[in-house]
Amino acid sequence: MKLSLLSAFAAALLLAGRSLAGPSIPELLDQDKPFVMLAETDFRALHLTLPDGGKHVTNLALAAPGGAFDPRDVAKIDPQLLGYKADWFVERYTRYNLPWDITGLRLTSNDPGAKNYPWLVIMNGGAANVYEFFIDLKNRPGWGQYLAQKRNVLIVTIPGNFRYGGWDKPIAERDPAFLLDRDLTPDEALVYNSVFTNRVIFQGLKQMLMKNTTGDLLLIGHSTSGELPHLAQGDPELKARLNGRFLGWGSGGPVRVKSVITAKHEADPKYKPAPTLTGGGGGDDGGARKWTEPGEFWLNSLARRTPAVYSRVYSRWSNPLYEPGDSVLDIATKWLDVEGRRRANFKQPLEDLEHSDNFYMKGEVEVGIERALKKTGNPWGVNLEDVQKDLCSTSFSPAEGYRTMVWCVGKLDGHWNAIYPAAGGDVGIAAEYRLRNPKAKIRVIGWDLNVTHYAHVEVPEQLAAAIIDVTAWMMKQGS
Amino acid sequence: MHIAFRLLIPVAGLLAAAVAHAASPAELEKKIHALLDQDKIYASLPGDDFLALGEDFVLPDGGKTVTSLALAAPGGAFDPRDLEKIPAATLGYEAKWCVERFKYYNLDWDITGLRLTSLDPEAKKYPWLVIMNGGAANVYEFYVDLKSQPGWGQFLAQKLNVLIVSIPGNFKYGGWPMPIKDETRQPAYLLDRELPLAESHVRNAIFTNRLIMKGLEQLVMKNTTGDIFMIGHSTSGELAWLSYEYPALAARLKGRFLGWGSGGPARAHALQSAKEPDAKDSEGGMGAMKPLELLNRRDAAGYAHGYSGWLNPLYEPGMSHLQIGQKWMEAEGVRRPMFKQPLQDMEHSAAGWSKKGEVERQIEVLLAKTGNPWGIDLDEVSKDLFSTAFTRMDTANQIVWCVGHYDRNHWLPEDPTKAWEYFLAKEFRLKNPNAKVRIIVWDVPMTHYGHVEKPKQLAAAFYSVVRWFK
Repeated sequence: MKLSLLSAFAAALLLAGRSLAGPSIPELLDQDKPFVMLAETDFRALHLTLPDGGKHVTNLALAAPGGAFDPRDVAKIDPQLLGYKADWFVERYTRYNLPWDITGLRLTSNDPGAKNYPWLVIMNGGAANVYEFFIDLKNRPGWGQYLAQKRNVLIVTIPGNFRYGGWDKPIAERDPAFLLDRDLTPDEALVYNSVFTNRVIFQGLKQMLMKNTTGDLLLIGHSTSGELPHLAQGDPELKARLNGRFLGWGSGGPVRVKSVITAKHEADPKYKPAPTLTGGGGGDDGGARKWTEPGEFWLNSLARRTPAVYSRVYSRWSNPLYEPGDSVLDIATKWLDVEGRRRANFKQPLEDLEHSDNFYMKGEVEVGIERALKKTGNPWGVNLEDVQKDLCSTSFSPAEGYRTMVWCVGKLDGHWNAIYPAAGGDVGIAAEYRLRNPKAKIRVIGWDLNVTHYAHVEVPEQLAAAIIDVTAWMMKQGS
Repeated sequence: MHIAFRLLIPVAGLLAAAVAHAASPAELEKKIHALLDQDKIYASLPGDDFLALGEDFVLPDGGKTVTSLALAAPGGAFDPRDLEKIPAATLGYEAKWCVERFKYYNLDWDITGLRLTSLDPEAKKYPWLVIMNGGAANVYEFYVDLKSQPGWGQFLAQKLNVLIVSIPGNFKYGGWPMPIKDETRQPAYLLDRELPLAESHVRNAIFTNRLIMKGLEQLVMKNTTGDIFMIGHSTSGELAWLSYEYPALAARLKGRFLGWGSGGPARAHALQSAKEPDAKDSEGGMGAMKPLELLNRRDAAGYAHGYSGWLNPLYEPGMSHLQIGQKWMEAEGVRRPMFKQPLQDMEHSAAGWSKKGEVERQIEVLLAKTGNPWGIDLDEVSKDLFSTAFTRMDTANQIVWCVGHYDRNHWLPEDPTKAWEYFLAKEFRLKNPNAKVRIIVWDVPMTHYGHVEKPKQLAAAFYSVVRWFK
């Protein structure tokens, strides 16, 4: 009898197309625990399909130098082939008396059920752009394409990080494309880089969202852009559309919360940082960085991506470019080679500075901007008083008003701690939000396999299916 | 040479020069205006001219009615409401005591103002002078001196309308009878009841400049009309600069700034730190961070360093600075709060910006400890923290800082270009290239507390400065 029941259960699982090694994503998220982990086999079993297998987009990318295809061409492809309707948006706006362009690739799902879920708004981290969220490093279908089979998606590239045709110049010499219809002069680049605050980005983001999406939103800020969803929580119009929900992917928390956590650690004589598998840290030097070392125009001294930087924790064995025998440096070298044109591969110091607790640097930043304006003569009429008001906004992000929050993290991401998961960065951040939102359902879910901060290019299909399950769970929690 | 001796030589010279000549009020005003008309960062009014000021600032009763009131009250802590009962003709102004209750962070707070509406019909031609006490002071020292003789406000009110503001917590009916160091000596955030110590601790920890501004705006808007000058003494210099960001106040400030021991916003400390890293105390001089609930309490030693000089009314020949400081603490030990909240101090400096997380942590701990029955929202407090780091500096087109010769945190007579006010004037000139930006130094051995040292002369000097503004 027992055997027949088991057989029936096994059969049912097979019929469902999936046999689980452990609890499913919704079952895990139902648990009110500091963190949960999805078993590797269950993660790998996640599956989605594209109508054309992704080949139209791949062909487009393969045909373009450096893979830097024109996103407007995606919009010309029949939605039936893609599984979604693609639209490319460029929003121009003015801040500090300067014009800025922000871009969004909107993927409106063909799935009629998509409208029952919030828009998934993916915002690139500091040195990336739309491409890595839409295709992988080999131009195969990316995370966004899979997500758009079931959800409406908007992939936002922050100002400067997208350029039609990519960058011809080497990584070490290129400038952000803050305007898409012309290159900036060196003086303009100096000033734009020097005033590139999170508030600049946020203004464009809001315009992009308000004009090109409707209804509820989930803002997924990857990496450095993890600051943006929290700034949105402080904006009445966007807060209303967020409906108390937060979804993180390699997102961490805002500087404000991280600084409180640091203070708690410092106040606790028993606190010792837990050892990490990865050695912690991401692409930059974080708190140890000597910001002003490059000289008086240090705000114009972009952090340029190099294989050495990307080998630290970002390049591992799930990377599509990995081949047996490759060192992590080999992977990173190939990565920067294949993505050397279409990916920005730079980050402004100010954006970085605002992503860690550097409020004490505000005076230095102001003086740096003042120098840039003086050198150029400031023909644009940039008002330093307006800029200074915006500095360090990330130290003041709201931390309340949430009902459902889920951080998703890869096991090898610096946001996780593979050795001591309870001591992981995002687990600690979630704990702070639990304190401030005692009635909210707050979860951290780890993908228990060797994926990094860049799992969206490593396992895009499975990650998309996982995120779809997570968003389905989130919506069942109400608002 | 011993520092005290080295200082005495110029002091003696300044005082000797002061008695050499006495000019008429009109001549003196002309001199002040001539100094301010010069497009220079700073100018000094000679000591003899300063000391000759005030001849035309006569109190109808010589100030004796108020002095009698103060002398009759324990510790001099007379009830300001009693001033309303004194005929205006006796005082030269109509006195009204204003208490404004306001809500912030879900708590009630009281802020007070002593309004002196001048009987001089010309007064209405000039802006109201809104004087705001520094960290450890209150209304008394701007109204009577340390011997309860007529104070700065009384003289000013002979010709100008005046509102003397005590920030929340710093005024208490009857004063504080307990010793300054006594933990039960706590700010009187509410005037109609005593607060439990745990509540005082929470309130101390969330005492932001934004909180004070809320009450200040309400007080000024409800109890004055027309143009205003916001004169923030010492720590309250922050309030004066923040005021330009409040549209209702900004409309009445009309781009004018008048400072008295005011300095600039904490933001400017950070600019000085970046531009002049070797400058003295460039970040603003905050010491090690203390628990937010525990008040910084004044003592004679602290007041001996620069605040207690030879023009102090309590000074007698032969006294050391420390002895003056001791007498000051004794004389004002009841009516003057003599404490300052650490958070207010932190927000008056750039040195604490790296501690925002720790500030939040401490507030969180205090709220958890008390159970937060008031429903204080930490997010609301968080967004207000260190507002003084973001104060706009392009808001004024006529700026005059008045400083005493020996107000050493604001002026360095031996090297003016190293003075804090000098740096500020340079910065404000940079940010407001079309503005008139001036520092005027009263060249007598007057300290940061010149308003209790030479209140009549200082009132006359301010009157002339006010009349210089367009």
